[in-house]
Amino acid sequence: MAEVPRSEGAPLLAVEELVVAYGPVRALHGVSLEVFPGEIVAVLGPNGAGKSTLLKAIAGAVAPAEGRILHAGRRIDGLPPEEVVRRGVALVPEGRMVFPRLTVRENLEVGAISRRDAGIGEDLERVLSMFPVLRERAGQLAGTLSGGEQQMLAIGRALMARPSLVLLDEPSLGLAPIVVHRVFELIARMRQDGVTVLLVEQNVHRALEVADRASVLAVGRVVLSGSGEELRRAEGRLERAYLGIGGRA
Amino acid sequence: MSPEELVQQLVNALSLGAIYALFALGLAVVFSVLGLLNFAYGELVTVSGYAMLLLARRDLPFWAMVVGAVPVAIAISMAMEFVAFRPLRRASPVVRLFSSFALAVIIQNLIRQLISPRPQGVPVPEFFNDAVRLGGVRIGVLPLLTAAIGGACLVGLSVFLKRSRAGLAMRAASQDFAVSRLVGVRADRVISLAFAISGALAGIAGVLWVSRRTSVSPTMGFGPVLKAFVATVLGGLGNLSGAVLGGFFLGALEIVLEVVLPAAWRPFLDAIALSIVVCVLYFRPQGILGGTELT
Repeated sequence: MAEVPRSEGAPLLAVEELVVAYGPVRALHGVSLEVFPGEIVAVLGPNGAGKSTLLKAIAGAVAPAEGRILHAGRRIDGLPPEEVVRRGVALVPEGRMVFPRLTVRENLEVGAISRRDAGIGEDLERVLSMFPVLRERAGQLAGTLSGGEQQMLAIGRALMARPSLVLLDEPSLGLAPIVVHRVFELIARMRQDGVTVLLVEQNVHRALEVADRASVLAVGRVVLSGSGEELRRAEGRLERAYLGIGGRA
Repeated sequence: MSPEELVQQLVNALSLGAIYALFALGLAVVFSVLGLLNFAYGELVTVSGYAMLLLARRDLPFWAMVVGAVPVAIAISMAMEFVAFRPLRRASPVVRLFSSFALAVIIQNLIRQLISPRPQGVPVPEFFNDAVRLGGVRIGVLPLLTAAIGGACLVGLSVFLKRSRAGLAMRAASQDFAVSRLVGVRADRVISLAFAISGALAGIAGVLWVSRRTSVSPTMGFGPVLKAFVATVLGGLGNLSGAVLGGFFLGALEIVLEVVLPAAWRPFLDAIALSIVVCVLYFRPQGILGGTELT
């Protein structure tokens, strides 16, 4: 296993020996992972490796059976999702999952439902500037947006919670290549804005381009981790060994 | 039919429709958020009626009976959620349905034991039976008041859902409960709120309903919950606009049948009305508006 480079200071997110089971079936067998402030960390792996389960467990949508999850040093495992988001961890779920019969603006407003501060209007303005297409369609029902627009909206909705950590679950899934490009630009931009990102992706090539570090998950275990650069160099081997797909996705 | 009669019947239809719409909305608001058909909903109407009765026995004026009855229905509705549904949140829908049946039976029997198994008269103001002259047409005060209050409640609820943060949270929860929690909607709070609104609607509709029938009985909730269920299914289960539409449709249908049916057929009014509903659903099985969201 490659030597994992360590960023300085305390991790923003620490997952320790996490076990998640759906009934008798274990989806994660003791996964450990650290994400440091300002990093983009990718979790790669084939379908069924437990990537989405990992993000759902961090977000509080599924309860872990064993192990700990710490955000900024405080335990968040076992908290319901509505409390996890209040701690500053926002999930952009797989398949976007925008509220189809709320308007674009309402989707963004509901993203700030956990907040009581006065900065919500300002953040709405900031997100709308970040995504001009959302401003154009602010009054439109979210269900009428294209897949790419819905992905932008889902990301914008998560940012409205003003999170310190964003969990992105397969943000490029089912999107046209040009839109995928835009999504990854946004991920890089989020880091510039001081948001830390934990990214689950099937698009290995793209994910490794943007990620500082990556872990590869297979059948519920971390089987390889290293810097984005290291994994990029080993990409061919990595894909053959763990992903079973050929070439760039 | 004279033009005067036509207007009168129109107001009657709007008035009965408004009551049914409120009944239906109260049932639908919980269904849309929780996916639960609360069959103890009718008992909230009963409870508001009995609250009026008990306040009347203390010689309180009618307005005080109304002001007292609605909060009682709200409180009982929220208590229902806390006692009978919250512990079963992860249980199957069938289990929760049975829980709601059990609640209904328990409340009915409590009333039988604590108050009386027999119907009790509830005094309502004399002027409810008066008529006012509007543009040359005499219209009953109670139907007019009922239609106006019902309409005001519908507008109020709509504004609440569209304009307030809590309303936004409820609409999000009704579209995707799991995702709404991920963005920060507090599950317990939004469900409590749905039951509070459900109780308020049952309470207000109950007051209007009791004002019409001027009596209460332990099983009086069956009619309202049945009408609410029919109207909700007719409009599209869980769709709030659909529930309102279904309520008005059902109310209007009953008034039309009352007018056109020969006296000998009157006993079959409900059966005929429901047959027509079945026909509508045959052609639109998803309901008039269809869907399971707050729109």
